Amino acid sequence: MANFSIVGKRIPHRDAVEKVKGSAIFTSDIKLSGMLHGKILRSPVPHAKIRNIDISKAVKLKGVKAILTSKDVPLIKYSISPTWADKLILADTKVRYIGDEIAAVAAVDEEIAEEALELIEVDWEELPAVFDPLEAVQPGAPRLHDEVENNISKTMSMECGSIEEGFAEADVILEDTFQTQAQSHCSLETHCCIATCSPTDDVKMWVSTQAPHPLRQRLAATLNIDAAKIHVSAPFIGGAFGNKIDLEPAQALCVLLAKKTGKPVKIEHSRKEQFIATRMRHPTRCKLKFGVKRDGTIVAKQAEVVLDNGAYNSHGPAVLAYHNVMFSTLYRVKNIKYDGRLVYTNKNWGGACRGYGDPQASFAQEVMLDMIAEELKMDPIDLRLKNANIPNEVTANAVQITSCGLKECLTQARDKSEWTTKKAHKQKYRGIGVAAMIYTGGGSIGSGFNYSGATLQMNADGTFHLLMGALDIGQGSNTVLTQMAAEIMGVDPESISLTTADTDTTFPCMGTFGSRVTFCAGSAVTEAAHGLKKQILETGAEMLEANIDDLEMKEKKVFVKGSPDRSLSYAEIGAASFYKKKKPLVAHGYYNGPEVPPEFNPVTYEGYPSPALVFGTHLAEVEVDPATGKVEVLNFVAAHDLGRAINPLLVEGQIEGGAVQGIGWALMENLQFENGEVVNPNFHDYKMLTIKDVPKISSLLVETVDPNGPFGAKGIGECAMVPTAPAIVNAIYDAVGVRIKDLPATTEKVFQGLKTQG
Amino acid sequence: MKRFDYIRPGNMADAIAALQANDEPYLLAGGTDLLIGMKTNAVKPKCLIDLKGIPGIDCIEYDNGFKLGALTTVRDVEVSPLIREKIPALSEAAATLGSIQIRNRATIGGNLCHGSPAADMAAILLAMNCELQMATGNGAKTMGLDQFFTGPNSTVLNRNEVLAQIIIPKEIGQFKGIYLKHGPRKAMDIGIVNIAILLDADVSSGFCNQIMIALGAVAPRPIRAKKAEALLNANRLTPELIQEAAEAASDEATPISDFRASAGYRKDLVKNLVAKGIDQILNSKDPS
Repeated sequence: MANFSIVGKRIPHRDAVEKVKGSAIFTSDIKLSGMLHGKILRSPVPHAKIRNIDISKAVKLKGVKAILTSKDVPLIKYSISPTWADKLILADTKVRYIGDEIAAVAAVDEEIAEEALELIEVDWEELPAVFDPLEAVQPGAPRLHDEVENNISKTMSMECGSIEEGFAEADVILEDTFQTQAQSHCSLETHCCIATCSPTDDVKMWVSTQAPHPLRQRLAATLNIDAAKIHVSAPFIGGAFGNKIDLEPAQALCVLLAKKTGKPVKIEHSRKEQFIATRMRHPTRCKLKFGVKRDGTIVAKQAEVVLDNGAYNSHGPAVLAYHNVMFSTLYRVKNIKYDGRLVYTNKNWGGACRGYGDPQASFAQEVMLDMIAEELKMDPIDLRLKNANIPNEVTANAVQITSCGLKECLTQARDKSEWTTKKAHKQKYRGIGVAAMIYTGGGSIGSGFNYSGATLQMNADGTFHLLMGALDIGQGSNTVLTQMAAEIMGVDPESISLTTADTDTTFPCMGTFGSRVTFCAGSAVTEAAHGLKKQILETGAEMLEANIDDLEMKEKKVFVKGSPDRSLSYAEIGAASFYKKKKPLVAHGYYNGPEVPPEFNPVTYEGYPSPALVFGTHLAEVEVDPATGKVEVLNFVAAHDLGRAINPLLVEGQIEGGAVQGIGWALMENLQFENGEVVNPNFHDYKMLTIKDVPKISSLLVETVDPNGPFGAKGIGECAMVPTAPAIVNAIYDAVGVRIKDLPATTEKVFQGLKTQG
Repeated sequence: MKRFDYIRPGNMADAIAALQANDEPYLLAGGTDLLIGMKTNAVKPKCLIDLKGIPGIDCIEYDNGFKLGALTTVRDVEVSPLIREKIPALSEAAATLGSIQIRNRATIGGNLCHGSPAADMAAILLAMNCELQMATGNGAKTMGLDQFFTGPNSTVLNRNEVLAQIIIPKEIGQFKGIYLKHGPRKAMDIGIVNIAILLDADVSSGFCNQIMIALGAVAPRPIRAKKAEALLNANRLTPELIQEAAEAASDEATPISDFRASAGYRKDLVKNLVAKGIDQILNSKDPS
C-alpha cells in the first residue's frame, strides 16, 4: 500500500463538533429582519380540474402580504432534465396528486399563512384517478397528462445477445415476480429555503439542497430569469438522500414571493409535506426469468419492469435507465433482455433516492439468485462467484469495467460472517443470507456531463483555502476532500479552510449525489492541488534561484535537494506571493468525465459510461419469532469495493448508515397509500429503525485502487444500501423457509408465510 | 397550530371551574399526544388547562397498594425502585412507551385519559384491577378502570371531572406479571397488539389461583379477556388449557384491519402472545 500521511487516516468529521454542540447553522436557523413565512396550498384530491381559485377572502386576512396562483407565475414546466419536463410550480388547470401545489401565501407568521390557505376557495371538478400502474396502462384508464398515451412516460427496451438462444441453452429456467414499495428519504432536516430579492431583482437564496449550481440553472429556466441574477448558497444540510437534487416548487415560489413583497421569505416544509409532497423511492414490479446451466452459469436473464412514477417525472426516466444498467451489468451474462415502463399514477411522485433504482433491481435479482441456488443445490455465494464480474471486462451490454473487487467482497464477507460454519450448523429459526451489488462510484455522464470544480489558493501565511461547488450533506466530503488536498500539499487538514456550495464564489459542481463527490470533486481537488504545488515550486525556484527539478516539498517547506539550509517556508512563499509578486498562488481543477464512448446508446443505455463501478456484498444473519413473525437482525457484514478508503472512519459511517436504511426498507419502511393519500405521513406511523433495532454491522473495505479515481478512490454513499434488503429476505428464507417477494418483509407477511406452512 | 387560551390553575377546584367556564377546553398534562394533535390541526382546542401547576398530583405513594398521582410521569413509574420491586410488570410496561424523552413528559393519567385502545399504561393497569379517583365539581368519585374507557379516544369523564389518582390494589403484589407488546420495532412503537397478564399461581403444581389478562389495540377500547380468565382461574395450567384460553382470548378480541395490521393477524397475535406470556411467567425464575 502506498505510503500516505493524511489519506487513509481515520480523521473525525470536520463538522462533528459544531453539529454535536448545536452551533451549526442550518437554513431553518436563519432569521432575517422583516422575514415573511410562506406556505403552500396543496391539492386535497388526487385528480381534478381546477375551475376557479378565489383568493378574495384570503388576501383580506390581516398579516397576509402576498398570494400567488398559477396566474402569477411563469407556466414553464420543469423536471430533472428539460426533455422530461412535465411539472409546473403551481397547477394551472389540473391537479394530479394529493399534495400538488395550487397556491402560495406569504404572511407575517406561519399561523397566519396557514389560516390564509384555509380561506382560499378552489372550485374543483374531480376526475377519476388511477393509483396502480398496471391499471394505469389499460385502455380507458384515467389519463394524467393529455399528451401522454396510456400514462407511459417512458419505455426502455434492450436485448443483448439472443435471449431465445440463451434460454434454449439453459438447464433450468426460473420465473417470478418481485415488488418493492415506496420509501421516504426521511432526512432529519425537511426542505427549507429563504429568498431575498433586491430592488434591482437580484435574488439571494439560502437553501437546503444537494445541488446549488444546477438549482440556480433550474430556477433561472423555470422563472425565466438570468442565472446571474440568482445567488444560491447552501448552509449546513441535515441530510438529503436524493430528495434535494431536483427543483422543489417551494424554492421557485419562495423567490417569487420575495420578489412580490420585497421582503425575505422563508418556506420550510412540515414533516407531513415532506412525506406527501416531496420525492420518494419509486415502487417497482419486476418480473424476472433466468436461465442457468447445472454448473451455475447464468446463460440468460430477462426482466419486465414497471416503475410507478407517480404524478410527475422528476428523475423517473433516469431511474428506469439505472434500473436497467445495474440489473444488466451485474454478473457476466451473455444474453439479456430488459423491458421497462415508467407509468404515471395519481400519487406522490418518485425521485432520486439512495441507489437510484438499483436497490429495487438488486432485490429482484438477488432473491432470484437465492432461488436458483436452492434449485441447483448450490451455495449462494458460490453461485455468485461463478458469475461474478471481473476487472477490465466489457459486459454483454457493452459496459467497460475497470477496477472490480466483487469476488473479494464475496469471499471476505463469507469468511467474516462464518458463513460456512453457520450454514453447516443451522439453528432453528435462525438463518443467514447473502446479496451482491454493483453501482456507479463516480456519478454518471448519462445526461452528457458530470462536472465538479475546485479552487485551491495559498494564503499569505502559508495556509490554504479550498473552494468547491461540492457540498457536504452530512456524508463527510468536506473532511475527505480536504484530506486529499492536505496530502498533496503536505499539511494538516486543519491548515485548509473551506468555502463550499455557493454559486457566486465557487467553481461549479453538479452536486452531491450519484456517489460521485469523492471521485469527481476529488479529481478536481487533486488537480487543483497538484497545480498549486507546481506554482509553489516555481515560486520557490525563482526565490531560491534554483532549478525547479532540484526542489522538494516537505514539512511546509520548499528546499533544494541535499541542501536543507537552502529552503523557504510556506509562510515565506505565501507572503512573497501576496506582497511581492504580481498575483497570489491559486490553482483550479475541473473534472467532467468520462468521455462518452461511441458505443453508448442513449436509448437502451448499452455502453453506459461510468467513471468507475463499485461492487459489494451484504450478509445478514436473522432470527424469526414464530409467535409473531418478527425478524431480528443479529449480525450484519457489509463488504464494499470502494477503490481506496480516503477516510475509513467516514466510510464505515456511510456503510453503517446505508445498512440501517436498507434494513429499514427490507423490514418496515413503507410510505403507504390509500386512494392516493399517504396514510402514514409522520414518524409515528412511518417506521424507521431505532438504534435498538440496529444490529452489529461489520464493514469490510475492499481496496482495489481504481486506475482513474483520486488516490484510487471510488464512491460509496448510495452503494451501502443497495444489496441490504435481498440479504435480509434471503436470510429469512434460510431461517424459516418463508420467501418474501414483495417488500417490506413485515412481521405480518412473515407470520402469514409461517402459517401457510402449517 | 391554531391560537388558543392557556390557563394554569393552582388547584383542582380551579381546574374544574376552568373546564366548565371555557369553550372547547382540553386538559394538558404531559402534552405528548395533545401537542402533536394540535400541531397537525387534528385537535383544535380553544383553551388549554395545564394541570402541572396543581401540587401533589404527581407522586407515587405506597401502602401495600400503590397510589399514583395522575400527573406522575411514565418515566417516574418506570424507574421507581418501589414499583420495580413490588409490581415490576408496571415498570416494564412503562419502559415500552415512546422514548425516554417522551416518558419524561408523558403522564400515566394522560396516557389513560387520551383513551387510545393501544395505550401502554391502559392494558397493564386494567390487568391490575386498578381503580381511578376523580376530582369532580361535587367532590371525589371512584370507579374501576374497566368502567373508564368507552371507545377509541373516549372515556366516561364528564366536563366537570379530572382524573386525580390511580389506585393499584395491594393484593396485586402477590401476582407475577408480564407485558408483551408487538410492533415492528424494539422501541418507539405503538403496539399492534398489547398483552398484559397478571398471574397468581402455585409454581410447583402449576395451579392458577387467579389470572387477569388485558388486551390492547384489539378492540375499540382496552379490554379484559374474561372468558380466557374464567377458563384458567382455579385450574391447573396445562399446555392444553393454556392453548384453549389463548384461543378464547383471541375470540374475545374484535380488532380492525388498518394500514398497521390486519384484523386476522391481530387475532392470531393475541392467541400466540397470551400463550407465550403465561409460559414466560411460569418459566420465570425471579418472582415478579
